[in-house]
Amino acid sequence: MIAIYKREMRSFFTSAGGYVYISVYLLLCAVIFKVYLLDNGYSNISYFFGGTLILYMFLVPILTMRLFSEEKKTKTDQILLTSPVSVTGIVAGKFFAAFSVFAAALIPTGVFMAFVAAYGTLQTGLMIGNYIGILLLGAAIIAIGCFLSAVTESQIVAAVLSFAVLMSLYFLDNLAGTVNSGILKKIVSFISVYDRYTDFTSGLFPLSSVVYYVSVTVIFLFLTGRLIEKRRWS
Amino acid sequence: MIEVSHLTKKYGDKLAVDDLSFTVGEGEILGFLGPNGAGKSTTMNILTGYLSATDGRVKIGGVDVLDDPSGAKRQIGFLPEIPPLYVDMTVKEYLDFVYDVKKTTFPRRPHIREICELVRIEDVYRRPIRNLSKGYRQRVGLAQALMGNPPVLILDEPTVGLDPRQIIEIRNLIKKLGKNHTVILSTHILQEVQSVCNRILIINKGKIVADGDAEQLSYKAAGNRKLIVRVGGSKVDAAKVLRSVPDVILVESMGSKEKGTTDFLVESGPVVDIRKPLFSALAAKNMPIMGLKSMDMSLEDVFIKLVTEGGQGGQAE
Repeated sequence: MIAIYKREMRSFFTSAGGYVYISVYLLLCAVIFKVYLLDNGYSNISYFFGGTLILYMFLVPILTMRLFSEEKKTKTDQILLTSPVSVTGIVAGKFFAAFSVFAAALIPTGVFMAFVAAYGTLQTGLMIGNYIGILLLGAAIIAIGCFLSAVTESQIVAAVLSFAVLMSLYFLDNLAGTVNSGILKKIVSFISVYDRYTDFTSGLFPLSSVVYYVSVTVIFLFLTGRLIEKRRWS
Repeated sequence: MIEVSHLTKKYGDKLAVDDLSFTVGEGEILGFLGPNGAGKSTTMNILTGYLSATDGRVKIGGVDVLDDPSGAKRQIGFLPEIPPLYVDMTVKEYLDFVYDVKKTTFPRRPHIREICELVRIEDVYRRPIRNLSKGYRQRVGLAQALMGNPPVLILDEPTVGLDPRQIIEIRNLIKKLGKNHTVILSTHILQEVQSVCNRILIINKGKIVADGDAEQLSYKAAGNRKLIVRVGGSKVDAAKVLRSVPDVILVESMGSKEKGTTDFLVESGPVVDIRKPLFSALAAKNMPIMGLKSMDMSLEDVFIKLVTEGGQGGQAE
């Protein structure tokens, strides 16, 4: 698993993928920081984090689109699947590599926090809650991206699928607001990946949401593994 | 070393491998032959654990591929049809990765250096795989298969796309490796099998149609043995002498191609060797043999015959 993790990390930074992700992410974060906080004179960082949610739906596919599709296309999966490594190890190695890039991109956003602390009041608890929330949300959508990358041999198809799915999930939140039926509303907001995030912005530590994100992550990684196994049998 | 029993693989309704059973002993170099789509690659992919069989068992060194996949995979070096190379890495980075992913226990640097020397890729060691020629890529692929010095090597068309000099190099390397490895080699280049392998397995439509060494296969397919003899002396006398040799079924004159000699086609039963009695009989009459050529089928003929007949045996021609 560690060998696969190392290889993926190297690949992120020898190809443009890792740099593109981090630089575009930080650039857009800066824009959001200026528009949401500076221009309004707010110091509530939850506005900032809430604003960045929309970025992940088209940036995370950059990280995940290649992971499994490319191996299948170039047949390099043959070396992985004929080595004494488990499919779980392969999936985990790739997932953690993408997650590491995702997490690494969050580190420079500390500058924005420092800015708030210097010129306003930074609510430390809220900040920690938001970072944990972002990491959990990130893990879940990376897992979804992994799964969709394993579905196809084409990076582009994987990226478009991931984008479509993440965007649908994003708009599901708005949908939840318009649904009248009580049960339906509950169902919609239950499966809504982004809606869960708001729990973290209120300064609480919502255990149920943590469990939710971890479960989504595990389920999709499990399905990714199943998909790879299934291909060997079909 | 390798035991395959009743191996079956279906892709949907299509039967790719049909109840295949064979064993490969230690130190054997088995040539795996068959037309395109015969199930060679599928079989190899199942042996290496890349694909799963629909039915049947595979044991590598006594370890069942299903019961202990890691244990079985550890004993196999696999070079697939398309070498599984990460082109964004250098050869060094790639081999380091393979070393880790194969969980090799030999000391890292000496082991990698040894493999590089064996397949002769030291001079491209620090170059990106992206920039390597097909020949070098194939050799890096072979290096990958040798990592951890596995007792079994499975090579899927290792010489495809190489230039003649490289083909000879790779063949010699495989022969060398065959001294202390069990090798399964698939190819459709027949000279390759003849020059490298000590056993040949021909499959067609997922079934074994022939199994044996090159000579056995020729006999099996050829039916009656045929010789072309060029005899000095009179045509009529020579024909008489040839007919008198025991086991000769047919003597046919093929005309004279050299002054004072006649060529004959001599046919005998499928298992007997009439060359010695032929010589004695002609020598006794003081008729010199100016040329003697066996008309045994070449491996090409055998292959085409077996594959087109679906292994039904039958007469030659």
